[in-house]
Amino acid sequence: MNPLLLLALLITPATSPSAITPRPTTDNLEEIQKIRQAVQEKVKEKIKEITQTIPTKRGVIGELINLKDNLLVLEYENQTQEISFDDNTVIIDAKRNKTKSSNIKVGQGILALGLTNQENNNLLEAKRLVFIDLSLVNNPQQIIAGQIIDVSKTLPVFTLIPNTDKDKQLQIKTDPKTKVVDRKENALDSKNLKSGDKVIILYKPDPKNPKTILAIKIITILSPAPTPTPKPTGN
Amino acid sequence: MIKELFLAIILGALLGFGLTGSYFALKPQKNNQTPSPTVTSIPTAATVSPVAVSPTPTEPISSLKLSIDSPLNQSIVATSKIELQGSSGPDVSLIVQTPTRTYQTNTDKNGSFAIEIDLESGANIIKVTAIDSELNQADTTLLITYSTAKF
Repeated sequence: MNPLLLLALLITPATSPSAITPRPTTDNLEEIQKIRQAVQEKVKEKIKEITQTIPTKRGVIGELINLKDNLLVLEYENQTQEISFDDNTVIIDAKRNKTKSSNIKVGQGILALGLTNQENNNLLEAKRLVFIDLSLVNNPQQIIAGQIIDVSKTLPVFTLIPNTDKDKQLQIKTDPKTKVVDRKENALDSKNLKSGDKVIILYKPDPKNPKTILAIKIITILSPAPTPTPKPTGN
Repeated sequence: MIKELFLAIILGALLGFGLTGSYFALKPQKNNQTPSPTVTSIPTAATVSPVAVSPTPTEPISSLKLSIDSPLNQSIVATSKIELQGSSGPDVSLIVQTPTRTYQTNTDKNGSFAIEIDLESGANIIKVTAIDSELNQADTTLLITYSTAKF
């Protein structure tokens, strides 16, 4: 065998050309990402522009904490809202009579109805200002969910571990007015309540007796499955 | 004999060079290849190391979501009856509280709900509470004003 031919055969695999597939470089990817971001920002800006230019009707409530010229600042649940008003704004007092802007006082509860400002989204241009009692806009009933761990056999009382604090135990009282229902609002007897039941309690806090929870309504959301009774076999 | 011996040495040397050359020629190609995705092993029950049991949390770890789709917060409506629509987890108990009434409903299999509620004239704080069978809880409130005043 010719040694030169042998040499050629040995070298060939080392120098064979390999197919190169074009792949996106990191520069290209960065460029694509930049374009994407720019488009996203532009879309966001456009949406903001559209929503801001269309004034929408809104109603806000709060306690008047600041009054200067024709600008009010209302506060409700730690959030503030600026309200502007003018001579055309209708002002209604607590007795539903029209009143003057001079009767607006700091500390009053106010419902402001108006249009959002095109430039300042936190400013409402009031068309109507109504003096209200803020305590009446909220339902006074409170909700507790939890699991019953003990039911008294002698008193209409059971012990509940609330889902908000599993180290706590609450004594829940019931009376003949207490409604007990299941998730489909089918009436149940309060005697059916048992340890292990998961329930939702609706009650009205009594400021004179804050430790007592008298249930207005009890909704059972899950009852533990009854333990199967062993059946005697035929043997 | 000597001639054949020389030929064998030369051939051996050439074979050695050839193999070495091939190895170095292929090595950089391997480095240029696209890295394959890393496979993260999913720990099985047997491989999970025991963790210390933390004390009972005082706050519930709630994974339950609740959102109201309609009406929007701070809306002004001109009718005393409205339909509240939203979503939470599937088959969740819902309590809807208006200033004077309390309503009870459940979400469907998809987590959607719709309930008709009565409003009082003026401002109404609507509180919605969702509670699932594991006692996870989610709450949201919205202000809806019922007013027929035109402006």
